[in-house]
Amino acid sequence: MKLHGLELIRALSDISAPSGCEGRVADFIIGQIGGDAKTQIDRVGNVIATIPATADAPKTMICAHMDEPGFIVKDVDGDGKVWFKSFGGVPSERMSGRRGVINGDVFCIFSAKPIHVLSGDERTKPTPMDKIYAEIGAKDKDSAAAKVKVGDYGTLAPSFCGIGKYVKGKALGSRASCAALIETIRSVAASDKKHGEIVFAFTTRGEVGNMGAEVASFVASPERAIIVDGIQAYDTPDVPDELKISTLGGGAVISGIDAKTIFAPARVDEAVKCAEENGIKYQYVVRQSQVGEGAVVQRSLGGCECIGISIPTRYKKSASEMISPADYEAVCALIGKLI
Amino acid sequence: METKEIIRAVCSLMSINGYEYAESDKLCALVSPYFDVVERDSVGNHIFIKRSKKKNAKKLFIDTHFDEIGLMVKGITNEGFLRVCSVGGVDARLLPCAEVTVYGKGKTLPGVALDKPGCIRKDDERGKLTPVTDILVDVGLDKTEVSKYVDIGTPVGFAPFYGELGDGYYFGKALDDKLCSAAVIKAVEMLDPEKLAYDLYFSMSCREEVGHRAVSAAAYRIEPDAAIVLDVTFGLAPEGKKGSDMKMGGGAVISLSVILDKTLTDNIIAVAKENEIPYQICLEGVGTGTHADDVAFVGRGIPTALLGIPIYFMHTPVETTLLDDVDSTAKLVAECLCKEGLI
Repeated sequence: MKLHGLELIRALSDISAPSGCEGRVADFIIGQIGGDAKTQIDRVGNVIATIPATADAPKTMICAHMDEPGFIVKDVDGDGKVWFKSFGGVPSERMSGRRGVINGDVFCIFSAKPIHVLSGDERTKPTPMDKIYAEIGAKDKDSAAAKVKVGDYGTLAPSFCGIGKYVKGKALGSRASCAALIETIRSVAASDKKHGEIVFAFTTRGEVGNMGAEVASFVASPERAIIVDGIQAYDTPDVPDELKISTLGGGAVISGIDAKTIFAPARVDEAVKCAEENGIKYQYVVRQSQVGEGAVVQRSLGGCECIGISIPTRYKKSASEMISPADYEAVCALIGKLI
Repeated sequence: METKEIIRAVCSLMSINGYEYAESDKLCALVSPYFDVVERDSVGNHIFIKRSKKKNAKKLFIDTHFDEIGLMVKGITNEGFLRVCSVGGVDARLLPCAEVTVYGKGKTLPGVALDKPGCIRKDDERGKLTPVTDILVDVGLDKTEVSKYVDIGTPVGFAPFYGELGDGYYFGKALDDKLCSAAVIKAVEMLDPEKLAYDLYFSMSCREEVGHRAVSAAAYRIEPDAAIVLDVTFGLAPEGKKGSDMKMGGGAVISLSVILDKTLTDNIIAVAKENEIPYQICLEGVGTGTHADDVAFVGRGIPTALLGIPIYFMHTPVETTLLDDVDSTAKLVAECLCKEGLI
C-alpha cells in the first residue's frame, strides 16, 4: 500500500536499517516508488530511481541517505548478554536504559549499570559505550545464540509519535528526507512539466562517511545535485540565536555551507529566489558542524553544483529526533519547484 | 488475568509520589473485584480487605508500595518548555532525550526530556550528565497552549512502554514496586476464598520513594497480627554484586534480617518447600531498606517477613523482570494466605 505524508514518515522511521545493513528500508522504498520510476539497487546498496529526461536540461541527482546509526554484535557472553560495537554517533546516554532492536525483530534493552553499585563519578558521567550490553531476555548463552550471533546489526527501537505540533522518532531527519524524495518522484511522475533526467539516490552509509553518496554520484555523474537531510535545530531555551542553526517551524532550510561543503552560490541563490517567488517558507543557514553528503557529491568526477535542502531536526542522533510536519511540506514543495 | 496483563495494568497507572490517588478509580476497578472492601486512608494508602470465612481469623497485613519515582514541573519557559525537579531520585543517566508523559489537567501530553545542548555547555560541563534540575521537557507546544494543561506542580513520568523480551522477560516503567502489587493481586486471584486462613489487609502504600513516609500509618491503624512486605530487589547483572544480588529465574526472594521475625520467615520457607515453589534466600543487613524496617516496630510491634522479586535496571524506564519469578512469588503468597498456623 502506498503511504503518504506522516504515515510514510512514520513507516520509514520505524524501520530498523543501520549503516551497512540497509536492506529492509531499501525494500520498503522500492515498494513505495512502485512503477513511478525505474528502480535498481547498485553495488553498494543504494536505491537508484531514475526518471528519464523530457527536455534538454541538466541532469540532476537528488539524494538522501536511508541508513541510520546502529551497532554490530561483537559477542554473546556466557550469561546470554549481547555486547556490541556502536557506530553513527548516538551518545551512550541516549542508549543506556532505552529500547533497541536487533535483526529487525529481536527487541532488547540497553543496560544501565545497577544504581546500588555506582561510584560517585559514575552518577555524574555518561556510561562508556563499551560498558553497555543489550539484554534480549535469554536464560543462558544457548537461548541467546539461537536469536543473535556475532555480526548481527541493531538500532534503537521504533518509537514514532506526535509531540504537540511536531512528530518524533528515531532516524527521523534522514527518513523524512527519504519520504520527501518518494513524494517528489510521485509528483514528477504525475506531472507533465518538462525536466532533464532526474536520478533519485537513496544512499547507504550516510552516518559513517557518506560512502553511498560517493558511489551514487560517480555512477550517475550529475551536473547538479540536491542533498536532502535533517539538520540540527538547537532552538531550545537558553541557546543564543547565533547558535540555534535552524528552527522548527521556520520552513525548509537552504544551506550556504556545511563543515565540508561549499554549496554552489548560483544554485543557492536560485533556490532562495524560488522559495520567495512561490511563497515557500524557508530559512537560510550557514551550518558549521555537520558533514553532509554534499561534501562528496560536489567533487564527484568533474564536479557537481550542489545545494542542500534540509529539514530542521531537534535531538538528532537519538530515539527522539523531532521535526515539524510544516517544514517537511515546505521541503517537498521547494524540491518540487526546483526541478 | 495473565500475569503480564496485571503487571501492565497496575504499573502503567500514574502514581508519582503525592499523586497516588490520581488514578485511584482505575486501580480500584482493577483490584476491588478480588476483595470485599477498599479503604483509602488520610495519607494516600489504598487498603484492600478480604475477609476469611473462618471465625476469629487473625489479621495479616501485606504491603507493597504503589508510588513511583518521577519529575514535577517547576516552571514553564517563554518557549513553552517545562523546567522540572526530581521526585524520589530520578537517575540523571536516563533523562537525555527520554520519552516522558506530562500528566496535565484533563490531558496527558507526550514529551521529550532534553539535557543541556553541547553548544552552550561550559568547559566543566562537557562529558558530564546534566543534573535533573537543569533538565527541560519539550512538549512541542507554545507557552499559551502548554499553560492550558500544565502548571507548577504538574507530575511528569517516564512514558509507559511495556513489552516482552525473550524467555519470559518483561519490561516497563515503575515495576518498582507495583510489580509486587501485581504479584499479590495474582495471588488473591488464584487462591480459593474458602481456604483463606486470615483476614487479609493488602496495602498499596504511598510515598516509599521519598523516605518511607506513609506505611506506618496504615500498619498502626490496622494493628495486624503479622505482616509480609514485598519489594523488588536487584537481579544479578554483569557489574552487579555477586553473592548478594539475586538470581533472575531463581524464584521468589525470601529475606533474612535481624529486624525480621524468624518464626514467620521460617514458616514461609516451609510453605515454599512443601509446595515446591522456587525460592532463594537474600541475607540482608540490619536494615532491609524496605517498608519492612518501618512496619516491624509500629505500635506494639508487628512480626514481619520480607519477600521480593529480582529485577534488572532498577529506577529506569525499562525495569525488567522474569515472569516465572513473579508467578513463583504469587504462588508463595497464595499458599501462605491459606496456610493455617503461618502466623
